[in-house]
Amino acid sequence: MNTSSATVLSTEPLNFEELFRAHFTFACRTLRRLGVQERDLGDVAQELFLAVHGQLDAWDRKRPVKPWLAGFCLRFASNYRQLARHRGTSLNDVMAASTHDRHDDSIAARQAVLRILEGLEFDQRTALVLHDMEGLTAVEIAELTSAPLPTVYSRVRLARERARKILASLEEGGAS
Amino acid sequence: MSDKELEAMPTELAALFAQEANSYGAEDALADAVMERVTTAIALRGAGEGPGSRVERQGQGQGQGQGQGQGQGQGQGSMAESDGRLPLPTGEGRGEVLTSLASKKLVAGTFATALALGGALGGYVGYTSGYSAAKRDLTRASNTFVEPPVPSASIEQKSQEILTAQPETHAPSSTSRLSPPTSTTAEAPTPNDLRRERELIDAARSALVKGNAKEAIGLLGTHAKRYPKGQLSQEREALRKHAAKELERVNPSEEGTKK
Repeated sequence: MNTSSATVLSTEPLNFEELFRAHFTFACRTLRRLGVQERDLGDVAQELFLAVHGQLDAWDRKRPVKPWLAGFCLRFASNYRQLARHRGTSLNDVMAASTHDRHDDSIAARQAVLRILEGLEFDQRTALVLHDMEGLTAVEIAELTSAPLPTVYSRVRLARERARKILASLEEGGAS
Repeated sequence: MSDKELEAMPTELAALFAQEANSYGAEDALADAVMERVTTAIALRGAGEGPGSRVERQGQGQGQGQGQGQGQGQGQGSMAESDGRLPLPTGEGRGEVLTSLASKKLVAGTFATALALGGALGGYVGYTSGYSAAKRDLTRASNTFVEPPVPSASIEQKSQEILTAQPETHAPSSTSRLSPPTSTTAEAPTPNDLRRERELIDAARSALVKGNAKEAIGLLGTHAKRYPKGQLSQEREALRKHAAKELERVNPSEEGTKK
């Protein structure tokens, strides 16, 4: 029985391998958007899924898996950033970060998004990534971040506002 | 569920985010690599193995059966941070810590400088307790391990599928003018051997992760018969210990009747 769809994942029992295969990309892109550098993505993802495996029994399978995994992403990305800051590692090498051979529009968009996200405070960045980019609800984000619901709304609004400004400046810079 | 408190996302941002989302998704190679590392770490978890196997496969050579000493000095601190809990390797917890250490090799390399002090301290603790725990496990495993039950037909079938897979074309053909006249001997392991070893080990690991310890043991038994001193024999033994424990955990009565 193939239970790889996200809908089934939230309701049906599944093993770790299925969960991994179904959500690895989600975890990677969320980690990336939350500031994990491309070069460290595999290592952080490895640690993340080891932790997921260790806590698989604790997952309430009546609830959707994505917010649960997002909690891991948030925790690991936050720790990663703290360690990088402690070590003095730059987290702003957006343009050098992409190791992809492709230079299409989506890669350019990724770089632009990473630049925008780097310009946000981490709380706002988290709210924007999880709400506007991954489709989590504000209630789910409030649970994940232990923040009041109005605070989450506020963070999303502020993040959008700031993101628009950064995008405009990027476009101006690109045009000039 | 929509968040009515919020306005719709600005169109320029929505368009950019949609385009950006297309840049992800081609992560298959990374997924395979990470999955392999994760499953190895999971298989080693609780088997009393330190990072030796992991480090060994990263190119630092084979044969360090007690490789706990290599790598935890680098990785301990960051694992403590990233896992959000203090990695005191005591009692049954040491397997997890050591496994984490095993899997920290690359991150450890990145964060080694900042975490050298904490890592070294944690590494020493991990080494001492992990090594003694590994010794205990080895002793216990050698005392309690019993041969697995008769492999089922599916295991045999899977083993045969792997073993009888079409050989790769690098083997010299007797009719080829380019091939040397000397016959190939079975003494030196060939890339083909390693590939088949790898297939067996991977199949066993996959079976173990899926919760099928019996099948894993059968496949590992096949590997042991076929490649008793194979390049992956150390990994085989680690997996076998873990599979035996898993089998005992899942079906203690069956294990008990065989003693």
